[in-house]
Amino acid sequence: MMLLLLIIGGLFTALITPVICSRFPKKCGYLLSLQPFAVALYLLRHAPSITGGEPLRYKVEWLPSLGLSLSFYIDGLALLFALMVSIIGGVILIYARPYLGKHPDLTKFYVVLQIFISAMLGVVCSGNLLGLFVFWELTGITSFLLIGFDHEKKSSRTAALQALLITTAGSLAMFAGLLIMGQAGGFELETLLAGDGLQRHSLYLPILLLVLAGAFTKSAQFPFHFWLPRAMAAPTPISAYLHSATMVKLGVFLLARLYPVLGETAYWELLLMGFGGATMIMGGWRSPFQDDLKAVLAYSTLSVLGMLVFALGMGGPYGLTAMVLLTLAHSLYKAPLFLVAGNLDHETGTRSIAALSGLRDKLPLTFAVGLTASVSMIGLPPTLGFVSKEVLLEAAWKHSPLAVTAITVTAIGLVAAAWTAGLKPFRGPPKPTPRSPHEAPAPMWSGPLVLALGGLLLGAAVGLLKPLYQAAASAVSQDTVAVSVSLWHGFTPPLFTSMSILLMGAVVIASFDKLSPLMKLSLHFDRIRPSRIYLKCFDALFAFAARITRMVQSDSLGVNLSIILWTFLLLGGGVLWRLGGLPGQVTWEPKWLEIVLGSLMAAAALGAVFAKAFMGSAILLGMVGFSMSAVFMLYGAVDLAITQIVVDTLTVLMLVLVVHKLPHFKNLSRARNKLHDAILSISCGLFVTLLILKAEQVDFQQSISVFYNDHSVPDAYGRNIVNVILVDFRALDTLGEITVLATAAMGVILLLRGNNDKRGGETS
Amino acid sequence: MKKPSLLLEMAARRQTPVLLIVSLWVLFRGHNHPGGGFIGGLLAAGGLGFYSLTYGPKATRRYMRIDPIRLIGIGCLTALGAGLMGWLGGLPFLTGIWTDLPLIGKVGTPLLFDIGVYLTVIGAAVSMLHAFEEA
Repeated sequence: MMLLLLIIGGLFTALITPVICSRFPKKCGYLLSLQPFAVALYLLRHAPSITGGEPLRYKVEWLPSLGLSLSFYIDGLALLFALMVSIIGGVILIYARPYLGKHPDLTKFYVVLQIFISAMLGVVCSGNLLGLFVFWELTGITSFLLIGFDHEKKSSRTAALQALLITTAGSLAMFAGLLIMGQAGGFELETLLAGDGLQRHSLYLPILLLVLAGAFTKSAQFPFHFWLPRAMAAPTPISAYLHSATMVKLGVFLLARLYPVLGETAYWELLLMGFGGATMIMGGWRSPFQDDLKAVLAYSTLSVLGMLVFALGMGGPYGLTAMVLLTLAHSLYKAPLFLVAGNLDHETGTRSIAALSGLRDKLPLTFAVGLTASVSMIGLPPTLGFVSKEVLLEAAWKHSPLAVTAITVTAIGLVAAAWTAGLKPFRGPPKPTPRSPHEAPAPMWSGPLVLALGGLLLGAAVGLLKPLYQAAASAVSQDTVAVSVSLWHGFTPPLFTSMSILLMGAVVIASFDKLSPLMKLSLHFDRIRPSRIYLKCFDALFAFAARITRMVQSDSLGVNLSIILWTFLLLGGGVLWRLGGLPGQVTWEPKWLEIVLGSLMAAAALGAVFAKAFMGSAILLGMVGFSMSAVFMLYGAVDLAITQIVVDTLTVLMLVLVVHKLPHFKNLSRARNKLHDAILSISCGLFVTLLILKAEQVDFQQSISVFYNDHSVPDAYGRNIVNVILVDFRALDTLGEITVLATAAMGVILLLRGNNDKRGGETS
Repeated sequence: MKKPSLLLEMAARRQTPVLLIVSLWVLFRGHNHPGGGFIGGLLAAGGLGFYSLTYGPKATRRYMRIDPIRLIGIGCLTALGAGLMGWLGGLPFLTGIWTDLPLIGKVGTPLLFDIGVYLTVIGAAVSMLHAFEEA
């Protein structure tokens, strides 16, 4: 229970955030950070038993009949990710307060961010595939809201929409994959992981491709990578947290989670190493040559995400250990680097690399953060960056020369990127900037410094991490992984590779000015880049949607209604035909009341058609309704009868309200249109009659009304079966219906207000 | 808005409270006799709609003491909350929970759920009527 409260606690604190933010405007960052820090403490307290092989479990049945339960399962892998999410989340909550300053939407920012933290914890701790998917989608939606935080800028809005469309398109595909997987191996993660895996399942390849679609879009792998650099439109703490340290790693997390089920096949290796490799090289070499500080970091993040996928593709004890360590190392250096970029932007008013220079005296503490973090990113000992790179190279050496080459090429680019992002702005002579810089306030350097120092110290004392990374790697492979990492491995091939990377990196940095134009030249290939394809598809989709809308939804109510009715006739006719065509012999012994009511209704309906004024037509239609309820009464359907009466009364009320706004009846339709309308309405009437007669004769499976009759009083303590069905047996349907009702009401209100706005809102 | 006729005015003033009370009665008897949240809500909406026809939307909102648009949200949340109660007790979502109260008899979350339906229906119907009136 404690576990559940902590994981979805953010959803509750999000509810009271407005109060906290208005009561404690200065301290709200600290107060809100207590929640994620509490999660971290709880996890750390249980860490020894989790890494000792005793996962935490918690389960609430949600819809047991569908296999849908809210279950949490925290093993080594989940622990690693949950710790990163909660600790960095707390740091970001504290950082954001001074960063956003007097921003009017501060409260909104905090609310969404806390929902995001809960959603992230939900994904990584989820013990059920369907639960995982729900939380996964929640991260996508909150990410959308946060990227579009500056919603008054068009670029933010399009970037947010792009990220949302790409990741949800992927996650829809993934959902299909998860469903097949759940059918084949069970939705509960533990059952699935303990099973034999699906590598030899006949649908293995479709499952793999669908899941990869979700993972690759979320983790911004080539060719879906382009949403990530554009997502930098978000406030910097968001970029640091969502788009670098946590959310974009979810794709990697999912692949790691499903490694025992889908991994270690030729397809797996080919696809992951292929796409991961392309992403890491592309990102690594684009990164250092960007001018926007955040773009540098975004592309290097892409590169590392590619590396993580690549490592999972290689697999094996070393590949998995490298994936785990690199995930941690990257979060601990990239989040601080982003926050350094945030400080620089905040204090100088620019993010352009060309404009930032010589800031080490003005922002000494920010410089300390940048220095510590870049050392880890470059991969110098004794940082965690160095250790993880060594293990990655070790895995590559065990795999193939090609893998070593790919990683080497990428790492050289990343060395240059670390230089550009973390060190270059602080070196050289100061340049004038839009704002005169001062050191950022304490919350803006202390948290990042802790993270960066963490990356340094945990590298130096990597032995301390041993239970965590071994447990995480073992959780990935569902087998004991006992790779032991240390700073000094002796003179091994990885060490020499690592040294040559540093050397080449230094060469790149030294000849930066000569390489820069060369890299700019390569931008000419951008004509075929995926983001253009996305834009083309996007525009085409809108054009297509507009065409369809014009076709089926014209402004004329008559045309709309005809389309609906013709569709109904065609589809319904098909059903009737499949059930064996026209109904057979019908027996009917008319009661006199039926005849009276029937002729009344027919007369009123005809009258409504030929009425000369709107009001007359409305009243005659009301008459049809009231006679209808009399028929219901005749057969003892009291609830239906009452409902019909009240609905008709309300309808007449509404008609009275609008009638004086409508024009008088005029004869505008041509004879041909009238003929069409007559044919359509008469055939609809005939068809419905046939359908009702037929329904009497079709022998469906055993009627369900017997069940309701038997269970209504003993189980639901109600004698009115209609009501019991509505509020108890089928309450979920009713819940859906009132939601539809609420949505429809909102639609009506907005439409009417939009046309004729008296309250002074937006009219477009 | 021109002044409504005296007949309408008097009728609305007396009829609306009666209809509201009747609607509550219909709501609460619904579990055992014809009625329920949906019908009750429509009845109440009919009464309030009549009032609104006579005195206008502003006066109706004053009479209700709450913006009907808010009722929509409150209603949906009430129904959702009724469903969550069983779930918090470890049962599947929307499972009814019942207790025996002295004098009143069986009381359970389905009744709360029905109240949610009632409020949603009133909110939706009245705010739509108002939207028509104000358009």
